[in-house]
Amino acid sequence: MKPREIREFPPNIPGIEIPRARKDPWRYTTPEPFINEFSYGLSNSPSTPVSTSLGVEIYQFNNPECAQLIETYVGKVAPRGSNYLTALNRLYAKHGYVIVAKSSNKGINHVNISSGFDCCERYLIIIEENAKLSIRELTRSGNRVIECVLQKGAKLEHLRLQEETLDFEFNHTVVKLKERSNYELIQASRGGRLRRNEIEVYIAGKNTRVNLSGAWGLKEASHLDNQITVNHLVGKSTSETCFHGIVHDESKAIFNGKIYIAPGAQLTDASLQNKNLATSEKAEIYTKPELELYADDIACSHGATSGFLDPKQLFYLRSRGIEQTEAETILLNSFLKEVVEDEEALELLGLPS
Amino acid sequence: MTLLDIVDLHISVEEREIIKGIDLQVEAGEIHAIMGPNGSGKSTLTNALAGQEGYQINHGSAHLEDKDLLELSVEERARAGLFLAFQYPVELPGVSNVEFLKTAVDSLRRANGLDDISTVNFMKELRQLVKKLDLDPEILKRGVNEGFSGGERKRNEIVQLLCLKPRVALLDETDSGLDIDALQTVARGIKEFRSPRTGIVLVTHYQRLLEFVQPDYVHVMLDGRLVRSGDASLALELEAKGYAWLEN
Repeated sequence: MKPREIREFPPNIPGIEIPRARKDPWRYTTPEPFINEFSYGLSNSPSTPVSTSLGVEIYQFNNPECAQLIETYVGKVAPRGSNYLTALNRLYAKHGYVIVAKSSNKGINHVNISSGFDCCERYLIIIEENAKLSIRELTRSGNRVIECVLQKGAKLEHLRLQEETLDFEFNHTVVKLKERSNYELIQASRGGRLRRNEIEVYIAGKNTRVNLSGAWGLKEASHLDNQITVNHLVGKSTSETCFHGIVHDESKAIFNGKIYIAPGAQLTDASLQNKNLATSEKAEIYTKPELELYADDIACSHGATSGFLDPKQLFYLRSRGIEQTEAETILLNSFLKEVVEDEEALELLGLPS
Repeated sequence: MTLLDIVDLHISVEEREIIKGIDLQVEAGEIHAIMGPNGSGKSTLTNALAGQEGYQINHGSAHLEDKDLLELSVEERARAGLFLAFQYPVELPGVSNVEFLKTAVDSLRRANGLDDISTVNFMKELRQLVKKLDLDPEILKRGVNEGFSGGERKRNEIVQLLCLKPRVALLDETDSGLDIDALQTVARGIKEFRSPRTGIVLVTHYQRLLEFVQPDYVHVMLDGRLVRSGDASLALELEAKGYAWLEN
């Protein structure tokens, strides 16, 4: 691959600040490796979306048939615009796919997205009115921005499986929901050298429902950073966010979860939970639940916990004859299974289903 | 045959001596009740025997048959045949009752050189036990004690007792917080466990449970010592007079 000619790096993007380490939202994850990846060029090995469902159309970005969709949506799904890394992705993306789930198919459409290697890429996913799409996304490395639009009554089931990796991985996912639509995310993550998942959800229609759940088990020096924002722009909608994680060895997990409820978004029902367990004194957990509320007739709860296994629970199991290590395994497995039931997700996490 | 043999046991918690020299011998087939006011050391005794952390054994010995309990890890004590019914059984969210009990039964069987129990036989027995203890069979699928009422937790302890079939059961206030129906159900379970091969130590505040499960011996614990022992009539005397008359 020909090295990219860079006059100035990192490039200046008007109106967007270059992120700095030790400053929110990059307090515990240094952004430089993600930025620098662009300077020495990402690979040319993209992920590949595959579908055999009748109601799914997949285009490459350069296909003139989807020019209108790209013009309308790409870079615009998030009302607040881009952050620096997603803007870089826009500048450098070599691969892009548009996936459309058509209203014409009443059943569930399936798309399988399989990770490439260290590529900068982009997805635009449109789910038409009342259409249903199930995505199984396997991720390993690279810089990937996914924008999803759920039209009225649409449904998206999103299973994200994040394999163990020695590479950097940056995922930015934006999901916008219109009336009566429904988004479900199940994210299972193994360790990575440096992995960051930014998930932004915008609820722009009433009677919508969002369920975000996830679990991780990190080993050795893995680093996982989850940045999640659920924005209730209008009222009468529900969101539930629940993530459980285990850090072993010297691994590090960061979870920043925020619920934003806009002025006038009354009758919103939102909750956000993050629970963490450490099995080693050298492991690190940084968790921060945040609320930003501008409406008063709402139900909203949030919470975060971090700690070691409960000695009382361990004693209870051992007092029934169960070996210490087996008792620990039972408790750790059940902690992750509380939030993730999907068989593939459990398998990825190394849990018996 | 002596199943549980405790000799001059002294136990401290955080440098403070709670159990100040206890002798107790439980023969096969016997039921012993230990009664006493709050803070007399009853739970300290049972928890320390089961091997809970935080208890310092200063002096004395405790054997289950020929095994020195104090030398064994928590799980080894269970495998030696000791069972503690907890006063406050903890919740294990997401660990199903079936999975938990099957793992426990298999752990005990393996320790005795036996193969794992067949799932069919295990489930059959477990369903019968749950029914006997007036619990909804649905609890088997639920997490251990997860969302259980106080009474359900206590009855679940007795399900575990009957399922794991230990030699010696220490029942720590299994009767507290039970209504009269649940108390009779629990008493039925304890009587079912009673056999010429097993020994039972009932720790209780009240005489109530003893109306349904007749003990062979009643011991009164005050300030870390067994200050008086007698037959079942001692419990009635305590009920009538309280503990104060024994304090001198």
